[in-house]
Amino acid sequence: MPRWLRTAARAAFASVFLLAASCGGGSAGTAGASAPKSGGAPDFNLPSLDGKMVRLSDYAGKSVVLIDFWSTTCDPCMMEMPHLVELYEKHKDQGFVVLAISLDGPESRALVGSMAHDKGMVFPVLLDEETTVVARYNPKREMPFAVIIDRNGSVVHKRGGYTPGDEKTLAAEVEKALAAN
Amino acid sequence: MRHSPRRLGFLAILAATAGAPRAASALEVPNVGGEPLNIDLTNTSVVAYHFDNRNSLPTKPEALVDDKYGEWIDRFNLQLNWWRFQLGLRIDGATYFNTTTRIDARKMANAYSTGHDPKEPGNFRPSTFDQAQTGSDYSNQLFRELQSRYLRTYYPSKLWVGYSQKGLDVTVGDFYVQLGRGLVFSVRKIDELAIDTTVRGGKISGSYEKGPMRLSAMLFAGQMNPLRVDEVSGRRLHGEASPLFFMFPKAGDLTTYGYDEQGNVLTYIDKPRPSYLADNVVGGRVEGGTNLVVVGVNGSYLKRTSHTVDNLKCIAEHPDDAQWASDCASRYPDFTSTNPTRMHDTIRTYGVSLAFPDLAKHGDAYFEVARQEQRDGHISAIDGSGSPTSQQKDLSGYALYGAVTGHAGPVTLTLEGKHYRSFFPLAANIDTNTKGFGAPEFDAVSYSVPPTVEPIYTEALGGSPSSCMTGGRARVDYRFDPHTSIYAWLGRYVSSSEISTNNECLSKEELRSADDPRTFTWDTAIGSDLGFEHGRSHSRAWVGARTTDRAAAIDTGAGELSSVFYREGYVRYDVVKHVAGPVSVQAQGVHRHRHEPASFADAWWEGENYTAVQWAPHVAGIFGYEYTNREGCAPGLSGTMCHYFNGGVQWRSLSSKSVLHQLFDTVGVFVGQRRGAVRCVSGVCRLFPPFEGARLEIVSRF
Repeated sequence: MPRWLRTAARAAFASVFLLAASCGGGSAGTAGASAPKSGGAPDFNLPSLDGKMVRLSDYAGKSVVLIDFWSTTCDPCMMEMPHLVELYEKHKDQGFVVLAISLDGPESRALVGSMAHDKGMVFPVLLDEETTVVARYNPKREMPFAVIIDRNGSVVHKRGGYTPGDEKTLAAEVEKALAAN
Repeated sequence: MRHSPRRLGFLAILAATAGAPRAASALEVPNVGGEPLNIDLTNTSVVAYHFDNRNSLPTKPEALVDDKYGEWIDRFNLQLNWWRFQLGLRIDGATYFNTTTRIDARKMANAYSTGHDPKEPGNFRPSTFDQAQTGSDYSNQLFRELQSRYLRTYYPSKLWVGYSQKGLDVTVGDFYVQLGRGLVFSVRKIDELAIDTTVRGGKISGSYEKGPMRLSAMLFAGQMNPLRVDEVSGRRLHGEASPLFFMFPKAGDLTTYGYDEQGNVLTYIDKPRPSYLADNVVGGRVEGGTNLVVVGVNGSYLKRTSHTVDNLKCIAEHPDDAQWASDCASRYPDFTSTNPTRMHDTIRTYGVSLAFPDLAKHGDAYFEVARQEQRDGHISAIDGSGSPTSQQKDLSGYALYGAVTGHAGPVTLTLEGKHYRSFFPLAANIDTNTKGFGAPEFDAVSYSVPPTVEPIYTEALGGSPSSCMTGGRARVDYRFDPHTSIYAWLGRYVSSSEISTNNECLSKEELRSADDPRTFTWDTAIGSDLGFEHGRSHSRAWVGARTTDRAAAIDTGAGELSSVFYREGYVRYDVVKHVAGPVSVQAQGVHRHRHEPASFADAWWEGENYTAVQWAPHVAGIFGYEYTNREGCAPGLSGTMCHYFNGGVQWRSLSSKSVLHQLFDTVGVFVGQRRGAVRCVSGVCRLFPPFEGARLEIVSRF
């Protein structure tokens, strides 16, 4: 890479972060006060199956959050889902939340409601039809894909795929995150 | 071997940190301004070597050059999250080695031209030219094929900065968008088809909530940014130079050869020309309502870059000079296509949606109506003053879509219906035809995805079946418990654009044709989803059938009349049996019996079965078998069953406790063969060529 290009790239990078830092510093006492406690997990805002808007920052920093990327056309997702329901039922009173983010697009979106009902998904089912959130958390778009966020708002575990027995290791990670605070 | 100090330093750091414990998945760096700075890195690296995939046909240059080469495909995703800001960068790399060179191409051309290649029992022979000329021309076909394939490419494919707070989200750079259910506009990751198109520009969305009321709006504008390298074929897409797409690859000169009447070699140099002309888009959405009902208004305005008139004026200066015409095409690139949305430079699509997300806790409903207006049609001729004398006429269409889900106790009923008239997916402004500069593998790139109301794997056989279709599907699920359910669906579709192109959805009388353009389809399946042994064993399987008939029988060519357009029966399954401890065995497959009389005289079988032994949670070993006896599955042979065998191993670390665990988060090795197949998502299909070789994939997450 030519020197001028390196210099330009560094300058651009530094500018973005200086701008970001100045905004952050300036608003720390105002908007920052209402900002969620966040350890770096990127925030998002998605519609839920029941018509509400759900924001990660509504939970992150308060609860242990398991984000599960799934779709109605993903067989391993369907296999894993009952285990997530059991895990949620077991720990929900301890401040554990599952956000099941459906990646179904126009081709299969209509089936999300029936699958959620069939699988007894009692936690929020969110719709990432644009694939914006999956691109940030799971650029490879693996399914199922689990992300555990601790009470500090930090991503503490990521895991792609599901094979029978994975539910035990996932439960252990969730319990570790719940016990951490 | 010499090592630079920098490389030694890197190795020392790697060695020192390899076994060091790590606390989190993302890289940890000190807080900035009192807020944590989080760096997230995901890298996917694929190294593969392609052996002869047995699809070589002398008449298909694209299939001749896809053997015996290696590739390293890398996707590097970096994301920084700090306070409300996010910065993302994706760098794509494609490195090829041992690919067909121009010298190889010339040897190959000579071998085929003389018809003496022992590998090929095909019937290619020189036709109207003498041998030398045919050899040259055939070389040129291969040179054109290689012009945009297997080129080393490294570029920042996606780049964005985002700001997010309650009620406001702003993105500058690359972003995905979907309006409604994809009728008006939809660009999203569709990895199944190796498509990952974004808009590069700006997007702002805001929302306001008060009590049960909610109002949201989103506005975006920018240029479309399809991926520039097709990882399946190694084809590269070239756009025009643009400051918005800095460091993107550019096309190069194309050199071909010919002979004059005295037999002297002539060299032709075609100047570079793009295969993608920028598509500019503005769109938005306004939604308002409560938890019970939401009304949305969606709109998009697509304006294509066009040099058509300049191109025609340029050619008119020297109408009989082919080299001049080529130079004109380089200066003023202009594409032709049979796809109507590619033949109009302005496309307005807008519509209204009505959603009932919660029907008394017993279901939901969604309805959408959209109109599509295609304007500024392609000009194919101009007069002396530059005014068009022949132009593609305006085309307008509409779409109605609805979906209702209701559940009561263990029963769920899903109904979907659609009625589309001259309503098309918004195809990208890509040249899929020009030999040497076109990129046919990018044909499936589009900016909207009207729902097909059919199983996602349904293949579009001919024409554009959904653009003039009325149909619906009903699906019933019965749940015994969260692990166990059975289901069935029945679909009925009537299309007048499946047999052949019928952009205006005209009837037989309007077309003044002897043949009725309509087809009638039934699609049905029944299946079960069974879990047992506390969910550790599982069976998900369904059997289905699809029949499509013409409105009127036609002569099959064998003296018989038949109305059969398509027939298929199939079974699909995914069965997992827990054996003991961490060990499970999985069988996954599909087996299809198909008949498509218009393209193949005989019905055929095709399918696959993959058997895996899983040692939870880290290791899985896979053995696969695929087959087909579709006519032409092996070039030069007919009535033959083609077999494909493969095997692989996958390892997942499932841990971030050391750098090595993160570096090799997932490792997969695949060795063997896969048959070529058409893969479809929501009616958008593309052909994946057969594969024979070895492939290593490493996913790293930090």
